[in-house]
Amino acid sequence: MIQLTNVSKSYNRGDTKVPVLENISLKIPSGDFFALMGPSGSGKSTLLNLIGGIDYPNTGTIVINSIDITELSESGLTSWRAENIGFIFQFYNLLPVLTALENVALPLQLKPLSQKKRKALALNALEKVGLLDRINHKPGELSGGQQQRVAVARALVTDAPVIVADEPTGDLDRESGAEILELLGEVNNNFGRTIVMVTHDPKAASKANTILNFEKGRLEESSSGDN
Amino acid sequence: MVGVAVAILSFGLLSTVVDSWYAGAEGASSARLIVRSSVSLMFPLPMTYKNKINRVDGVEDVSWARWFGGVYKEPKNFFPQFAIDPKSYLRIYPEYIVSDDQKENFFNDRRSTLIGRKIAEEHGLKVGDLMPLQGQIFPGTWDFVVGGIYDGKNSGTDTAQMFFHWDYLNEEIKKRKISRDLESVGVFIVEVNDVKKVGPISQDIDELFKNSRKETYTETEKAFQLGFVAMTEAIVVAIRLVSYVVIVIIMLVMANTMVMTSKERMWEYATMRSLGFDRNFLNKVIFFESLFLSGIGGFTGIVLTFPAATLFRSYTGTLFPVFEISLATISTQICFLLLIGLVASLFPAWKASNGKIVTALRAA
Repeated sequence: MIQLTNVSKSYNRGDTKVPVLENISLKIPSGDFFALMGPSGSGKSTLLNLIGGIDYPNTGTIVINSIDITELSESGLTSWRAENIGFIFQFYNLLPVLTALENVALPLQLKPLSQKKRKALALNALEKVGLLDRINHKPGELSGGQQQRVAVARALVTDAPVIVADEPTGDLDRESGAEILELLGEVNNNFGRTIVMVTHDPKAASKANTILNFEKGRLEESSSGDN
Repeated sequence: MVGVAVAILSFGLLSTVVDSWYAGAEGASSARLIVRSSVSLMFPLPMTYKNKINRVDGVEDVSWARWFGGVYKEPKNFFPQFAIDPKSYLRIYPEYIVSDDQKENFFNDRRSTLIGRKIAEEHGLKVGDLMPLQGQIFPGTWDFVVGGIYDGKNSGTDTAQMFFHWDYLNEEIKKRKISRDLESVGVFIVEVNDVKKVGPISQDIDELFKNSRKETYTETEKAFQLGFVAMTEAIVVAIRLVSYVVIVIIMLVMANTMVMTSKERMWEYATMRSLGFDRNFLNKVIFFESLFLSGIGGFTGIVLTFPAATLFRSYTGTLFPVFEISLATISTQICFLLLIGLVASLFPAWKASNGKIVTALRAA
């Protein structure tokens, strides 16, 4: 379960404080496919970053699977992320010098596994996303959709219970985007991972179980998706 | 990498030039004394001083030499030429290795010359060849026959010198009526029997000729050689300074390159931090990347220093008689390439591991 209680976040711009999130409280049950929707600048990506543990709120608590991550030190948060969060970025964020297989195996470098085991797990993850025929290709040799599939595989490979996806279809054409959303649905249904997705696309959001609308740093209303 | 290679190569070459400047002093002995005029090396000493010096307590052997300063074919073919007493000189300088038969040639023919291997190779000379010199201090043409070629006992021995008979010079000064001091030497070379007593022996020798018309100044051979270096020390200091400046410049250039490269890769570092890689890991990645680049460049520079030194030596001829790349130079080159790698990585590593993840991701 992901529970946010009175979470606020603001940024300093010179002497001015710019509020981004104001007293956000919400619960995301384990295994849910959760979409945060809203226009650009509404604070949805900021909320996602807080849930993903790559930013700290100014006030409030964030408890994920009984761990209050706002209490963790920076190094503690780093270790926590390695075990608990899988990231999918809008622009894939694959390392250009590594092959697809190496990119997927990258998070496994943090685990005490043999090279053989890491390779096996990475291959398994790539098989789940249907890219076994591209394992030795570098990101520059893959299409956008394929790169995002690799990113999904990377998010899956560590068995992290929560996957955060920031505009996963934002840089893809309609067809590739639909494939990725399909994949995320399968990941949620078949592997029981909690997915928190940020999108401004209603069609993408409709794939989620629960949709939360954001407007100017505040939650508006929730609705159900088609999933 | 190319910049690092060039910088390390330049440092190695310049360091070797500085080392060769001091080579004469390095190869000099602390057990040999040089007795010269207390006024200036330009003023010769009477030969009659020899026997008095020989009688000083602690003196094992005495030889002498006089600077000739002639020109072989053309002025750019510079090498030292000394008129010596062959037998005593070669006794006192056992580091000049000559075969017995060539030694006999040299001893027995007063017009013969003993030349170092470097001169022989530089000018294609062999035993029996005629070697005419144009005198500058002692005017006229001076014909010598190569009686022998000497090698150095070790790599630091100067084999770019020419020796001939002092007796021959002395006779010719008389015959040709050259207005230079007769029966005179430039320096006496004294071998002592106890290196710990060089101080007192030097004082005793100088005391012999105190208040005479030609007072002496006696010092160890090493001090004598260092005196020459001191005359041109400003140049040596300048060369050394330039060699270090080159390293500092390339360090800054490489640091700048690493900063620019890491700026473009901030999103990669932020992604890795998102995935769970901590600051220490990132610091190590950036450091080892920097070290790898400086290592490849640096080792290339070190390897290229050797052919560069050979080329330099071929162009400078006998100007630097001893021109060897020392272990100290190579060690310093290695230290510098490590330092370059470290310094170049400092700011990028700090930026990558201390910057905000979300800011770096946004920049992508």
